[in-house]
Amino acid sequence: MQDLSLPCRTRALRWSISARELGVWSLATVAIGYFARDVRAATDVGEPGLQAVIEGIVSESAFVVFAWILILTRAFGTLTTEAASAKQLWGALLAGAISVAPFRLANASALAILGLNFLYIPGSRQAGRDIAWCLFALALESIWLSSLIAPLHVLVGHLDARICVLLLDLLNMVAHAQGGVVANATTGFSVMIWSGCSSSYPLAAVALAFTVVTIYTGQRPQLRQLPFLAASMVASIVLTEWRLALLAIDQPRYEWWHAGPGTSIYAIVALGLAALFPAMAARSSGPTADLPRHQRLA
Amino acid sequence: MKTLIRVCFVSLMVFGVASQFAAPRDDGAAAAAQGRLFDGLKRLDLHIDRAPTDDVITARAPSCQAPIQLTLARIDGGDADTLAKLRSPNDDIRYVYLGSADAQRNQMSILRRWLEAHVLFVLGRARIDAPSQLVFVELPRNCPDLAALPWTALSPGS
Repeated sequence: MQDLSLPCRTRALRWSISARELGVWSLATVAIGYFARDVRAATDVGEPGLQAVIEGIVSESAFVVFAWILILTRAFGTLTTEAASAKQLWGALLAGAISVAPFRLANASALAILGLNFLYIPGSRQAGRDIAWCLFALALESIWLSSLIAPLHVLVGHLDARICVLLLDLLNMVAHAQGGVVANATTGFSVMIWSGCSSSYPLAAVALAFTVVTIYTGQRPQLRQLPFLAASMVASIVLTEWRLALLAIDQPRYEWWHAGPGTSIYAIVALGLAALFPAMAARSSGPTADLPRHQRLA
Repeated sequence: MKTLIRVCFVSLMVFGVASQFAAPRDDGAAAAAQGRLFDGLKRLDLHIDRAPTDDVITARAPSCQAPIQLTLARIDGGDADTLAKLRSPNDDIRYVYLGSADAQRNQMSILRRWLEAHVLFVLGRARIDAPSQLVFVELPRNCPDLAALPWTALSPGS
């Protein structure tokens, strides 16, 4: 008689894999689609092989790689071993199937669907939410950097050019902005602010960094952290504006800041700022007593 | 059933990698831009005098003995130095991009045309995306009739 009254979840065990295994499989599928694009870009430039694979992965920002490591360790370490439901299974397969398409937007959609799927894992709600937040941030970054948003970055580039003129004025230089072009009249040098150089371009990466560091430190993304996120974005915009102003001084400085040691300095400062604000938000929220230590470190 | 689910995911991974590597490459876009350039040269009845070396094409018009030099240049001005080295004081210049042929490089016009073409492409109203290269043409001054040719054929507007 007891066998006849088995609950649905127990019956699911007979054919379904565990939520943890499903999570790892689906994440691996979407991650492979995510990084395959970069690996291919690396093989386009150099020889295919392990070197190209490594170059493809590290070509992404440090926080993207960190986000994926955090997601996979959370999935391995904290998801339940109970059987996954049919809905989760279909959601994971759908995300995997969409990620097959070789477009950035398809991968972003897959990340968002997978994120929604992780929100509803019974028995591992918190771990699922952590993973979902990171996946949503990765999806936002993918969309933000896609050609669909490029016109917006170009328009912001026009505004950047005007701000650049003001900053050059502070450096006692006369400059004019025409659209996205900054013409430095003092040195006769001019630069064009293209979509990838505009101050809006790194903002999704800043949001991703904020999310990842917040979750890593054991906090939960909450409304009260929004001022810190906004401050992080403002800091990123100010940093980019100053970089653009330095690029617009003359040819040697352009080379130094665009392809020389200046790029490393910019990257280090950007990385530091991206980590600083979520750390400040974590400190202002008080101790992370709500989670055990092993979960905070994932 | 569990094995089937695992096989499904492994297949998706393999398809994912295969589709990324089967997608058109960036050098395909560059080849398309060069193809459009060659088509335009034919339409203008110009003969390619020399195979491209260092990405510079030398062409001749039946009415003029002096060579015309053409090259594809980045629209963001990243290779302005290279173009400056190509320039000769005895030549007239044309910057040809998406239906415009200007004697001076007009970044605003280039940007506006790129933006329009790109938005049309994103909205599905154009078949190809806005090219990231313009055609840089050097015309010999001793053949003034060349200046009157419809150079926009090298980079037609959308």
